[in-house]
Amino acid sequence: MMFSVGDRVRIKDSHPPGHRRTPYYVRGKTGVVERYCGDFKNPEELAYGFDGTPKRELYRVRITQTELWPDYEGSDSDTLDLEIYDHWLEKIGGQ
Amino acid sequence: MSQRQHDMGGMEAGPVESDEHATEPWAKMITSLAAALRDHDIMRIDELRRALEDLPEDIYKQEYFERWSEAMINLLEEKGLLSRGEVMGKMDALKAQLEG
Amino acid sequence: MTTDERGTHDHDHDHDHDHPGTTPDVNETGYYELMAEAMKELLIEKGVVSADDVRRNLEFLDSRDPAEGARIIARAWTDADFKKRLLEDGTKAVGELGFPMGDAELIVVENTSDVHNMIVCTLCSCYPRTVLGLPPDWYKSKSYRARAVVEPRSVLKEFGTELPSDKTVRVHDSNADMRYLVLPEQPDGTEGWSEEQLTAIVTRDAMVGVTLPQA
Repeated sequence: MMFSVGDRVRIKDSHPPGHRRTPYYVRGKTGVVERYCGDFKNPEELAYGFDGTPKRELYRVRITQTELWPDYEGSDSDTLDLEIYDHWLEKIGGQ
Repeated sequence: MSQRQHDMGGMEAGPVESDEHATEPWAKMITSLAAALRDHDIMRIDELRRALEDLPEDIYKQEYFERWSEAMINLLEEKGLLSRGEVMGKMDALKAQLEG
Repeated sequence: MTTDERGTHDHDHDHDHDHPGTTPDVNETGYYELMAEAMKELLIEKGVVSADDVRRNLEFLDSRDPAEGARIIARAWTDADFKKRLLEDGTKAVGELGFPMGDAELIVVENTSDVHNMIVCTLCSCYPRTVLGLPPDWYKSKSYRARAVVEPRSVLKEFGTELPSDKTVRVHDSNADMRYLVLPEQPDGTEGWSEEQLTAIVTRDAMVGVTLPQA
């Protein structure tokens, strides 16, 4: 496994054209790996008729809302959890 | 690259309207048709999503099942399984039957 | 344009995409109803799918209902071991109750005194259909998809749900292969209720995380 639970990660600030399952609003943001979801066929490939292999590792990443939105109204502990494929993640230092 | 039409998180939008409409029979049927196509691995959900995302803006703005239908035609045409012209022609024939 | 050899024989073979014969008016009532029927008939005629395939899928779709999902919640509230299994492996646990998840994976997230969970799919409309049936219009709307991730508390208020400011709100954007179900907190005053009684108070909206169940 490329990442461990608790790793601080950054979601790549990349904007390739085509079918991507990394929402625009989280690109370039940092969060923490909450769990490893398993290996799945790559939807970016499946969308164009390829078989989606080799499978990709899928991780649930937890991001604090205050990291995502400058004017966030709510608790500092509020989070946004979503699944990101390994090739969209970069490990960053520190806990 | 800017935020694409389907990638809605954070976009400007009004209040959520929680009144509901029962799903129409044709909408259920098109959902079932898509599921049948997926069962046979003819059309993957990822391909359908991609076809939806690639719809022209004015078509994407239509209601949920309406744009699904449009995306399905485009995808099935791409796969050489039917053409939009055939669908239009069949619609004419069905309409004539209903009116006849 | 060449004739489409895959066409059937009982209508005009005009395949000019801009002006395909007498195109029904898109604004006419029943346009998409006609389109759906046309697509289905063509695909069956061409042997791509069978009428039986469509019928079976329609029957499955009709069998899915939020009342089914409510059974899961009621079981979790009355059976601590089941609840533990549900939170550890949602797919396997609901399988025990007869839910045919197939290849789909279910994660059940628990509401507690500290945390409230809310589900959305910003990219399309991913939803735990096997457990809850078809999603409501609002779940698929731009308003919900756009705002649930940015201002969840504001959206919750629109559903009549107000949460204490020190409670953590966790929004789950089901953007990949997992599907989510919220396990709401069991409301006060329902201690000792039967599974059947509890099933009746668990609403779809509570399992998506926009409302709280009431006794």
